[in-house]
Amino acid sequence: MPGSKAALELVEVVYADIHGRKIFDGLNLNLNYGTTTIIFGPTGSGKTSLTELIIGAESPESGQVFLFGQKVKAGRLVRLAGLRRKIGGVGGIFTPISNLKVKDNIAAPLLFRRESNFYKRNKIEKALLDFGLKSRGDDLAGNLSQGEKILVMLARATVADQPLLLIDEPLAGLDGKIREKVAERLRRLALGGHSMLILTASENESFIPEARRFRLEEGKLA
Amino acid sequence: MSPLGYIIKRFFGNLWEHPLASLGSFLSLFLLYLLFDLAWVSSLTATKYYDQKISELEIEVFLNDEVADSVVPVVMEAVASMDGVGEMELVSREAARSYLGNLMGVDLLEGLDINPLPRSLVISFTPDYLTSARLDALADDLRRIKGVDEILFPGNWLEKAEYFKKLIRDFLLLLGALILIAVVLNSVHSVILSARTRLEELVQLQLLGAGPVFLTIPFILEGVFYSLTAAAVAWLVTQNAARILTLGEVAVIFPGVTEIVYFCLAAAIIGLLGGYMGVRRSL
Repeated sequence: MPGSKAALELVEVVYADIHGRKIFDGLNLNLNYGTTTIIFGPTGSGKTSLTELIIGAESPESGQVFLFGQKVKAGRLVRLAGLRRKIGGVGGIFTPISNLKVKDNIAAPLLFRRESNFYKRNKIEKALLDFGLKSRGDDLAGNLSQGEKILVMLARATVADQPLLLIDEPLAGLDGKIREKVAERLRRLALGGHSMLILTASENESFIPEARRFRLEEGKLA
Repeated sequence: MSPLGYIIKRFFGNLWEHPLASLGSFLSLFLLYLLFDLAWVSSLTATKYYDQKISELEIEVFLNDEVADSVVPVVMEAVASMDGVGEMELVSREAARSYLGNLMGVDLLEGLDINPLPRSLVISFTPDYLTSARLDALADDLRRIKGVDEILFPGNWLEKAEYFKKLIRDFLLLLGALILIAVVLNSVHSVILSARTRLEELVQLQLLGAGPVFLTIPFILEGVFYSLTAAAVAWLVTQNAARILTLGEVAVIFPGVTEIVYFCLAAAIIGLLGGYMGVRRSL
């Protein structure tokens, strides 16, 4: 049974890719509310597959995935949609929608909220300010730099108060000021009590000191 | 923005953001519906013309010389009581002579002591009997009436006409079915193209929690819009073309308003199905 404190729980998950290569072999993971877990793994170790399993885009061969205490079942689209609204995704399979403006990207999760347009507009304005995107609100997301795209996704991932953030390679390809800016936002989100699962290839990332750290090795967390 | 606002914005966005693709989708559906309309109007017009010609069919029943004039009303009564007989006219020997004279321009029987032409009954039929099978059966029944000598009616012509009517009907049905299949495929592929240009947006919205209904509605509306407007415009063009088109004595027959409304509704449903199938294949 899933723990009541767990925002995300994977129990004995076994998963193979379409070529039959075993990616996870009895993977267990428990991410409690308000905590951050960082999983390290080289390219091809299954970080994206893990995200796909969590959001129900793929099914494990055996084992179970629980989000907020509910079992994730791929193919049950309506139920999955409800669960996905509680997840903020950054990087990996989550990308900004390049043909939409920055403010429309950030507003996307609010489409499914029963809130007044006035309240939604305020949230979007606040997110633009919080993530330093005020001047880029009317630009198309496709025209942004990689660092700005990460910031847009972070703003989008938090604008609807999503309780769980899935963050895939947040600092990959970033350097200098923008790298520090993104790392600082992540620290701030962790301190703000967000539940975060961060997937990264680099073991040198230490931007959230209090996070639990695991390494993906032979289909399990070590 | 509300979900409804997004759906409406996305629907119009799908139409206007790629105007040439939208125009292409509309025109291809329009041409298909125009072809369907022409086939439909042709079918109705041909059927009307056929029915008109068939309704003029008559059987001529020649009476035996041995039948006394006083018995003729009895024969007529027997004929009139048969199923399928509509109107009946007795052509006397004198009337036959007069008719022959008018036909030839001269009285061929002048100088003869007696009029050798037979008396006959010209019979028309009720509409439900205007088929070769039923008229053959009726002719057989007429032959069995005492006093009937010979029966003339264009049975072979009627059989050929029926054969061609069936041929035309089958051809138009096949054409109509092919056109409808083409319309559905066209709608599906128009929506697939539209959805593929927005695949990134659709995938991301799905990941953010958009449900299947929310994602599919704009594309279903797009399919309905293309199909419905193409069908309606094709009808307007067909109707207006008929005003300047004349086929001599043949009047062009159009379906009634109710049938056109049903047709447009059917087009909308085809567009709905096409839109749904198209977007489901893309997601």
